[in-house]
Amino acid sequence: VSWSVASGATLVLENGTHTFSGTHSGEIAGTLVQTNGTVQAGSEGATFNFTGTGYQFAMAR
Amino acid sequence: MKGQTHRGTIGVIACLYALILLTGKGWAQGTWTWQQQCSSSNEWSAICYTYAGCGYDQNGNPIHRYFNNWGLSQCGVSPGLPGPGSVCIFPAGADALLSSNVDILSVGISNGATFSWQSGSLTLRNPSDNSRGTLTNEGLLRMVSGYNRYLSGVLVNTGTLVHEDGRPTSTGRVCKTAAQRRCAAGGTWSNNTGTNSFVNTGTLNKTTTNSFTITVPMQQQNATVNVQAGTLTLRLVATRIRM
Repeated sequence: VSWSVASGATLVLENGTHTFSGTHSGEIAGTLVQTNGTVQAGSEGATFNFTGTGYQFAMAR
Repeated sequence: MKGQTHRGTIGVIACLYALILLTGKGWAQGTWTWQQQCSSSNEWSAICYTYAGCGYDQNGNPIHRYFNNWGLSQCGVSPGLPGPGSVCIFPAGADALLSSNVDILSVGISNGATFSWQSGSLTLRNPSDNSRGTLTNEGLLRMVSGYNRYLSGVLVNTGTLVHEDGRPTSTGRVCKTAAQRRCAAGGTWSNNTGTNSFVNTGTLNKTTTNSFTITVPMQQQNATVNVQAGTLTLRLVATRIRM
């Protein structure tokens, strides 16, 4: 999956369980943040390859 | 004999009345292909009219011919609209707007078609067993305005789904700039009754400086997610985000 968050923009993941599989990449010039809930890798595993500010966790588990 | 004729006449009138009631219910099953006839509105349920071709009533007034945006017209009464069990097709070149509540089986948005979902609930189901129906987008599916949208069913996006535009509001807002003090909410796209999902193998774009929240469980598969401005919140019960 290709993710792109422009400068000044925000992508928020909230609540529930967010399961990532495969490769996730892209330019995160703004904010990509998970504020709560659960993040986990799927059975195939997951690779994060973000540039910029990357994937931020805030009160996530 | 005269009594039988009278009863027969009543029967015919009753049948006609029942037919009018059914017609007046305003929907029917089957396959519906978007064919915009109302120049004044591209809304899903729009009805417009002219005076052409329907003659005059008993008072000498012209009878309206009513049109919908699904290629149908009728004299004196509005034509039906897609209803429970209907399959709705938006061919290339279509440019349709949904700002009302609809209950149908499925929607197909073709490559080259634009479907703007402004507000309302989109219920996709099979009325015979209430199983989930599907919206398949191969074209451009726009989420416009700051109103709320509700999905029951499955949305499969292989084209482009874009959230754009917002409406000024005093609550739940993200301000464009402090100096302007102009705020806009981009609305929500919410999970309605039943087990629903959003499968994205295409592109999800958010283009304007407002907030937009999606609470429909989603799967991103080999997809592209672009947040070009504002805040996109994925507030979900469960998501599967995979390559």
